Amino acid sequence: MKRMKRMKRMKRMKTNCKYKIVVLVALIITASYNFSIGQSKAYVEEVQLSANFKLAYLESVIYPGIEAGFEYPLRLIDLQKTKRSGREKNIEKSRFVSTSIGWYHHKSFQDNVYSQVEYIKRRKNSNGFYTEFLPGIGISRSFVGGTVYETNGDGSINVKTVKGYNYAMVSMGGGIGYDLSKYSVLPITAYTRLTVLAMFPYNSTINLQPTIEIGAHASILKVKARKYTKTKTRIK
Amino acid sequence: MKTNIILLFPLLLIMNSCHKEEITVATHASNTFYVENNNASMRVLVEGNTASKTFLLFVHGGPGTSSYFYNTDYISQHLEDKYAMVYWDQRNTGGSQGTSNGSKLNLNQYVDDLKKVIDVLKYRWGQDISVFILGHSWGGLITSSFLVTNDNQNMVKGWICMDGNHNFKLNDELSRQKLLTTGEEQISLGKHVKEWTKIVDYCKAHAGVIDYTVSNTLNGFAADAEEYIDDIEPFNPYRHLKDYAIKNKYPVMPMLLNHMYSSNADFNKDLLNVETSSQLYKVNIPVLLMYGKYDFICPAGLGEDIYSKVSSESKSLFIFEKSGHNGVFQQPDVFCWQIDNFLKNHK
Repeated sequence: MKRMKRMKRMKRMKTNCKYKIVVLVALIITASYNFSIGQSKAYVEEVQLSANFKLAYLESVIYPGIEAGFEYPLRLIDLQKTKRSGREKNIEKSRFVSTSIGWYHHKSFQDNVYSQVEYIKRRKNSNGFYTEFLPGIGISRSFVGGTVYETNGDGSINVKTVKGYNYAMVSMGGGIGYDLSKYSVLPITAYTRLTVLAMFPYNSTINLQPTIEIGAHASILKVKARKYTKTKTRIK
Repeated sequence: MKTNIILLFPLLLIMNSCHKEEITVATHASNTFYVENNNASMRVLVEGNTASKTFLLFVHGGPGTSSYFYNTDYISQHLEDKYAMVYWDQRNTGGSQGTSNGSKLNLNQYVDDLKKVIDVLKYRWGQDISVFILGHSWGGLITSSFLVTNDNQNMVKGWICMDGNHNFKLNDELSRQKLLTTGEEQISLGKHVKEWTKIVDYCKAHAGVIDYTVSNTLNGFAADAEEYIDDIEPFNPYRHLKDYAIKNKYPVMPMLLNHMYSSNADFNKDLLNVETSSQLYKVNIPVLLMYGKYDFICPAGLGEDIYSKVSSESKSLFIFEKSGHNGVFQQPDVFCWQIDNFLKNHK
């Protein structure tokens, strides 16, 4: 009986101890966060940002294609961070809305032409390297990869050299790029991107097509957009 | 100038998508075309000797797999030089395309699709061509239903049934019995005792009426059981995919998603009570039946049922000694020899 009571007490102590550790860790994290971001400032201005034309070679798995489009800037967040060591880091977070038209050719299966609108979240370091994430929606028109024979009830056959289907489309992609204008006069950015296109209703289900793009953006005109400048300083 | 380029781009795309009708009569032809029927554009690949005027039409298994798999190097080298092989992707499978057409999935529709494919073959290569149909697994039900419907059998010269199902209730019961007897035998030999015990216990517990869930479970056990037999020639579908997916330009993602959809579509439940045994007496064309000795999915008993019921004067039942459900891949040499012999005698 005594042993049972002792074991129960031990168990209760262990649980209390675990609870205390969790609370302590949570307090440390909260406190360090609050203390380390010492100062934070932000202001907004209206600036001229680049609207880009893009052209890319595209592959749907191994099937070749092409994509062209236009990126319109929505806003730029210029984030200036001062690290604990005193080193300064500058990050550009930009938002674009992009429209594009693409095509790929899968021999004897289908040609697929699609048009989509994407919302781009891009994060560029001061060295010109950037990463991006882009969800999108669009429409797709497939062209069946061969002559199509339509048989009628009376036994006659219609031959169609062009036959296709319309599909709704959503896409999700991510990529990396490099701003070449950092080191040359050309306002060009090279990039590569992996996107998954989901077309539906494809045979009452979904057709998923992963695509890889390798291309370039060229800044073709300047448009007005908002620029937010933020500074963050970490105190030692 | 800019406007011209913008207009030229979609025009080039559309021009590229226009297909000139290509009908090749040659000893080494390769033509892909599509047959449209009731909101589905079904891919048909014809390869081989179209000049022979003898066409073997593969009606693949499933529901939901694809004819791409049958187009192997072995078949190309041993049959396509003599005959034309027709690889047809049924609706909602492989490279077949459409939009919202799932409600059209039913046996009568598949039978009508098969008829339309043969119509188009004859339209392209002439009414005098000899067409043979080969039903594998689920294709056995489509082909047998096709043959007993109206005067459809007049459209073809012969029926080959390879590990085919034509009667779901009989199939389930034969499958259960074969798993049970083979399982007990293997357990007594001390082979894969743990795996076989699980199967045997399930089969013993589900004697009598077999519902959809039990049927699916038995099907799963039947597929697994092949791996526990030592005498069988192994067939690795993943290696097959690795060898042919790029070479033969499989549309891998649509194939996979089509398979997932078709194999789980509601109409599968309706098939549980479907049979053509009672109408097979109508069949009087030459029949070749081929089954694997270790086929637990569609046991050879199905072939015996067909053999006993058809009215054909020329009929034979052949058992593949080292095969399970895929004799076409497990013993391709025997498969090609049997096909060649049958086509040669009845074309």
